[in-house]
Amino acid sequence: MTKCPLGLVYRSMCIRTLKSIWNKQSTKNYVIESIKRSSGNLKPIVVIDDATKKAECFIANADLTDFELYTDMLLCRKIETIAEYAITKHHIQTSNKSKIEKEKFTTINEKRNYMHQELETKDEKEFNKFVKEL
Amino acid sequence: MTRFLFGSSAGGHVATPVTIANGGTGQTSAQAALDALAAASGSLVQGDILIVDASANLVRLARGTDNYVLTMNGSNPNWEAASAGVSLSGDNTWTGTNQFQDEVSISAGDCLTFELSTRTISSGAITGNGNSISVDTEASASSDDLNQADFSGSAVSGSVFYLKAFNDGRTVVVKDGISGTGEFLGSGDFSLDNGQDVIAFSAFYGLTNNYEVSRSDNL
Repeated sequence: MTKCPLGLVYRSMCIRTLKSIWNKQSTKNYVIESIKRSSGNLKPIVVIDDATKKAECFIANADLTDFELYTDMLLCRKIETIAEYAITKHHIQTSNKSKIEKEKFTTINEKRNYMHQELETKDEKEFNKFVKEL
Repeated sequence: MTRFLFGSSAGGHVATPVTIANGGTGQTSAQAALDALAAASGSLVQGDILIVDASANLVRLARGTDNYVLTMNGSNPNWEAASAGVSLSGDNTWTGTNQFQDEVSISAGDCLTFELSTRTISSGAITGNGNSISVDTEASASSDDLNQADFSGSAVSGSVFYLKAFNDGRTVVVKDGISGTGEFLGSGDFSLDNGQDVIAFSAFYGLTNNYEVSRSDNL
């Protein structure tokens, strides 16, 4: 059975992913198959542009063969608030950094870019240096 | 009258035992002596015990009725019906496997029943062992699918359990509707993507299916 692609995240209200992942046909095929398996997976797919950090929505068409644009500005805006988190997390998870480093910096990334909390100066510097090396 | 007892130096016992009538036992070994005294009492039967009374005499306490327990009543033990329940005070700890077959209620104080345990995915599944489980990916992969949680060996039908990701860096995708023992039946797949994501299920249908109760996430 095909595993869920890394970076394709199934949430309660949507599926979110990055444009670089969404552009792969295998990702679209996976989502179509997941909808056929469970109708609960039929929900908006919010795609974050890796470069601009802007989001756009898609939904599967009626035949479950492809996707079409779907307008939900509110959902897009919500996801854009964590675009940095999603992009950085994907970079960390796909990097060849050690398990320990991945654990540490995904947690810091969550604090900084998901919960939008201020980091201590030392952590901020260390995090920025780590991300730059990815 | 003064009595003299003569014993052999080798065996340590009297050559001619003193009879019961004269204050002895009439026997030459300990067990035989006790048996002889019990028989001579004329009233001791199986199950009786000997206790010391108020005059410091050894007296018979007749065996109790079935399911009675020996309870102190003043200065003397007595056989009495066991009370319907046991009342415990102070701190108590049960070890091993304990089962309460009827209702359990907490009348006061806190009741924390969930202890977070950790399970690592193996071939897309975990074996349930608690109500609150932290799930890790197989071989610490950055992402892994969880297709089933088998609670058939350690739960009763209807047991509720919660799943969360073991680590922020490793995403666990709980997949809906993948057949197998402990398959999840809910409202679609769910990625345990960070430390705030939790999904709850009830193990039902002969513990072969896990029905989703709720899920908690943000974006």
